[in-house]
Amino acid sequence: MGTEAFWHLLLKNLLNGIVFGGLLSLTAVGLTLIFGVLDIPNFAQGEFAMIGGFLSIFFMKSLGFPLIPASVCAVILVFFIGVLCERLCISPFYGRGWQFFVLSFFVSLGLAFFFEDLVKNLRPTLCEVIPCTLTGVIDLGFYQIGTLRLIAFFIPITILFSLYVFSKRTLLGMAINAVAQDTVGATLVGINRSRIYTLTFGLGAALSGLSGILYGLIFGIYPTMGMDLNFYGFAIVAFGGMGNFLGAILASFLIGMIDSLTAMFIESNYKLMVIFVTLILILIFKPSGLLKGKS
Amino acid sequence: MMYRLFRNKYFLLFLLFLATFVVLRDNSYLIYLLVMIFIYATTALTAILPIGHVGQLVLCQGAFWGLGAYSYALLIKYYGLSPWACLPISTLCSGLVGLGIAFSVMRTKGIYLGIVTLSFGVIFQLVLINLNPLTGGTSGVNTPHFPRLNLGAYTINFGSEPFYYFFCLVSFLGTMAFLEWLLKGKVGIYLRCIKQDETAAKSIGINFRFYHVLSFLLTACMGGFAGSLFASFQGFISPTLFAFDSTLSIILSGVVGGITRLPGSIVGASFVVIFPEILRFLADYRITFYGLSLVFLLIFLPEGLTPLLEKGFRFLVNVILSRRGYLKQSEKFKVDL
Repeated sequence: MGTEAFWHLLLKNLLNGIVFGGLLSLTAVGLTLIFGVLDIPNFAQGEFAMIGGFLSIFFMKSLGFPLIPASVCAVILVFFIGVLCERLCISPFYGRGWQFFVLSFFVSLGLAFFFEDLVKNLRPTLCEVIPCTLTGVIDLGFYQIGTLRLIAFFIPITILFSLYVFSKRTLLGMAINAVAQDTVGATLVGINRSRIYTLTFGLGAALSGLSGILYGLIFGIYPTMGMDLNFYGFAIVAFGGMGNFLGAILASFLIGMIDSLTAMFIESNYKLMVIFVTLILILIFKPSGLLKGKS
Repeated sequence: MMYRLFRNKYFLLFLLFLATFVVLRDNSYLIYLLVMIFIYATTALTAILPIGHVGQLVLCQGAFWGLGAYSYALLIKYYGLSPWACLPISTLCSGLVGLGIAFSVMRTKGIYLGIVTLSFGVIFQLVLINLNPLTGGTSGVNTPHFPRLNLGAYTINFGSEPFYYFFCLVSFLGTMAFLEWLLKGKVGIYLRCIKQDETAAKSIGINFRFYHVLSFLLTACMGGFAGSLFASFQGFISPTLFAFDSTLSIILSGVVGGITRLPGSIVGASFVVIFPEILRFLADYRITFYGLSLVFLLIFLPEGLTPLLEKGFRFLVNVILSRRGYLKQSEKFKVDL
């Protein structure tokens, strides 16, 4: 391989990694939001992405919706599924001290089993791509990028930016921040804690659902993708510091790039291994992630 | 004397499973399930030690199982060691790796420790799959049973199901007795102290690092031991058996039984092993209902199944004994599980 071709390939892989990282960042930010506010290691997060993707397919193929309304409906539905899960399954454990952590962990796992197997039975498919008419290519001179990928890169950026503005500028966003920082203090100033919890869980689920749709547009979705996405998500969140918004975004781009560089230089079988080895090394030297996270 | 013996839970459990064996001895499927229950319960006993008693999340029991199982299989395959010798060696192997992990992640805590140990589990499984020449990759390895012993006219078949049944039962009861002894004494008090408040524990001179490593070591050792038993009993192992799912099943055994109750692990293990089998009539929707029932179980019985069973058992015994007139109203029969 010539030097120029090598750099070309490297750049291409890096860009691919950034696009992949953008997708992961939605799931990871949802995860970090849920962990930061509710203290739940939510293993149903990847499942929410899977549900989002399959719901949008359902809306398009069975009900004949166009892509964008179908996606919007799917995201809203995932939000309500998240709210329902929190109200029915997580809220009985509030105020159980250290047991809350273990119990919520296993309840989210039970939900993950449930959703994964349900979708596997309702739609037994190996891999399904969400159909999209947008197939153009944009030539950047050195690299040709599909329009869809470019859009899939900008959607997470836009969403994350608006989420940032939401958390800093609006009253509701500030209330969520307050609960994340100090639950008792937030309750004292009159914030309805349990409503914030429900809303945050739904928001996290909806973010994940959106990432599932984008995933389906670009790579294709399958019923067992939830656990893979969970592994990526938890690696990212620990990498950037649990509950740290900026850390999660930074780490998801890093992990996306590590992922695609591993596929280029080593072998795609070793992707998860390289990511986890990096994670372990980081956590050995910085026990609470790159940027300081909640412990 | 008899009365006291009947209040001893080890004796009761042994009696219960002896009776179960006598009833089910011809049904090799159920005996197989019971042996699996004992193996799960043995692992779960120590698996919940870091979570329930120290407050640290350790999520790589599957990897410890795998370490034990693979070191058992590979030592026999390449060095021709006796399966009996492999049992302690693989326990030691797994313990050493556990020690290494414990030292390397000394500073991480809580959820970070959970994620680090989870990644160790995933890495271990990927190594097993990709280290094809040594481990046989995804196609797995055959593992021999324990050998027969010829004593002149008699042959004792250590590879038979009844032997595995009692061996696993005794190792479960032994582990439970050991842990109970450990947790009743100084160590248990220190561990509980660390769980409640780490800083306070450190300030009164409890060596946090030592007990952290100790709980990790115990988990790893017993995981390895149960893993090699598992390998020996199964006769075949492959990397998929030691994936993240197995870790979950093991810890779930502890959680469903009641995370701070030692005998709870056998109740939980029964749930984990038998319940999916009971749900077989649902065919494809088996795991769907398993997940759903897990969620409901945890919502309605967050303390686990054990307290419920205990209450039911006490109630039953009290009713029977007082009706027969063996028991005065004042002295109720008590079994503390």
